[in-house]
Amino acid sequence: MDKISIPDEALFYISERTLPINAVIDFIYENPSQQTIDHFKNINLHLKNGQVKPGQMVIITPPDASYCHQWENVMMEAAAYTDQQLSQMSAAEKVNLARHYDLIQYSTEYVGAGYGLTATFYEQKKKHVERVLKEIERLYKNTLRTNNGKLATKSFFQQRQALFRKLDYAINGMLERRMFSRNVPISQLKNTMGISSKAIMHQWKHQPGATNLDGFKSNYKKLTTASKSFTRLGYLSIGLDIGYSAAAIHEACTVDNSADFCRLTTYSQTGRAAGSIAGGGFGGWATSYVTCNLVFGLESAGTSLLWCTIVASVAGGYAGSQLGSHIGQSSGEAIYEYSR
Amino acid sequence: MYQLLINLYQSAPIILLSLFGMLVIFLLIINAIYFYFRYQKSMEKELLGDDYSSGGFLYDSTRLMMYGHYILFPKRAKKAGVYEFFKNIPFKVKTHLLIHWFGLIIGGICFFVPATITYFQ
Repeated sequence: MDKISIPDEALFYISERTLPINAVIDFIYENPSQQTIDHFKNINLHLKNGQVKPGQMVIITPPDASYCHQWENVMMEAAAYTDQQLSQMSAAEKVNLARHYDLIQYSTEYVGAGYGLTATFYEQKKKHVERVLKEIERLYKNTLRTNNGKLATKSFFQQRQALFRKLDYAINGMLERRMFSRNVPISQLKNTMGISSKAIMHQWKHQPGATNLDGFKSNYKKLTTASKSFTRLGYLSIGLDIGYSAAAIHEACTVDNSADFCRLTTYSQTGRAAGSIAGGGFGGWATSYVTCNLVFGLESAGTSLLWCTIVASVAGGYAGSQLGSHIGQSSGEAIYEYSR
Repeated sequence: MYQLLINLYQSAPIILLSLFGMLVIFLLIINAIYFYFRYQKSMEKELLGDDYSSGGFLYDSTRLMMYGHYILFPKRAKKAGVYEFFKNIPFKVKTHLLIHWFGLIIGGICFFVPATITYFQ
C-alpha cells in the first residue's frame, strides 16, 4: 500500500496530562453534534472512565469521512497496542514519552541514535516556535507577578501582540494549522489540550510503519524502550565504568600472584573509575551550561532544551570521562608509587 | 597520608592539583544529589508549572549551573523572566546553587587543566 494514500486528516496526539474526554471533544470539534461525539468515542474506545491519561494516543478524524475508516481501524489497533505498552511504564516514563515524542521518534527512527539527534538539532524553525511560546508564557507569568494578578495592561497587550506576530511568522508553513477546514490557533491547542509546542498533532501518514501495524508496533516498542532508558543511560555508563575497573582489579589479583601488581592495579583502576565519573560529571554539566545556556542564549528553565542538553552533555560527558579516566589512572599510579 | 601529600606536592604537583579537583567534583555530585532530592523537584514545579517533567538526576542536574547563573547575574535572570523567582528563593537553596556554580568552575579548572596536560603529553 502506498504511503501517500493515507489521508491528511488521519491525526492523533499523545496526551501529556489527564483530561476529561468531553473537554477534548468540545475543543476539537467546536459545538459537536451527538453524531460527532459518538464518532469520537467509537474511534477512541481505548479511552476508559471518561478520561485521557498521559501517554495515551487520541485519534482524531473527521466524523463524516468514509475515506478515513480504513485508517481509523489501523489507528485503533495501534492505540490499543500503545495502551498495552503504557501499562508497563511508570508515570514519569509516560510523561517523558508524551512530552518528547518527536525527539524520541527522531532518535529511534534511524539506526544510529546520533543521527536522529543531529536531525533534531537542525530543526531551527521548531526551536524558534518553542522559544516564542516560552516568551509568551514568561510574559503572562511576569505580568501576573508584577501586576498583582492582573493582565489587562496596555504594555502587556502590546507585548503579547508582538509575540503572537512572531509566533505566526515562525509557524507559517511549518505546522498543520487547519483542521477540518478551520483555523486552530496553536497557543489554544497548547493550553486547552495540554500538549506541548513540539508535540502538537501527528499525522498518521508520517508515522514509521503507518501502513502496517507490525511496523508501527516495532517503532513504538523502540519509543517506549528509549523513553524508559531516557533516565537510565547515564547510570548505565557509570555502572559500566565501575564494573570495568572492578573486573580489571579482580583479574589482576587472581590471575597474577604478585601482590604489588594487584595493589598497583587496585590504585590505578580505582583512580581511573573515579576520574571517569568526575570527568564525565564535569564535562556534562559544563558543556550543557556553556553551549545550551550561554552561547545559544536559551533558558534552562524549560523542557525545550532537551535536545541540546542531551547532545551537549553526552558529548561533554564522554570527552570529560576520557580525560578524567586518564588523569585518574595516573593519579592512582602516583599514589601507589609515593605510598610505598 | 600527610607524607604522601608532601611527596605528591614535591614530585607531582599536577597530580595533587587534579586530585583536589576530583575531590571537589565528587563533593559537587553529592551536593547535586542532595539538592535533587531535597529541593529541585519542588522548586522546578513552582518555576515551570505544567511544563515541569523530571528526566532523572543526570539530566535535571544539568540545569543547576544555569540556576546559579541566574542568582549571580540578575540581568540574565530578568531577561529570562525568572528574576523575581530566584531573588525570593530560600537562602539554603541559593547556597546549594552557588556552591555548585563556584565549585564546578574551581574544581573543573583544578581537575581539567592537569588532565588535559597529562593527556596530551
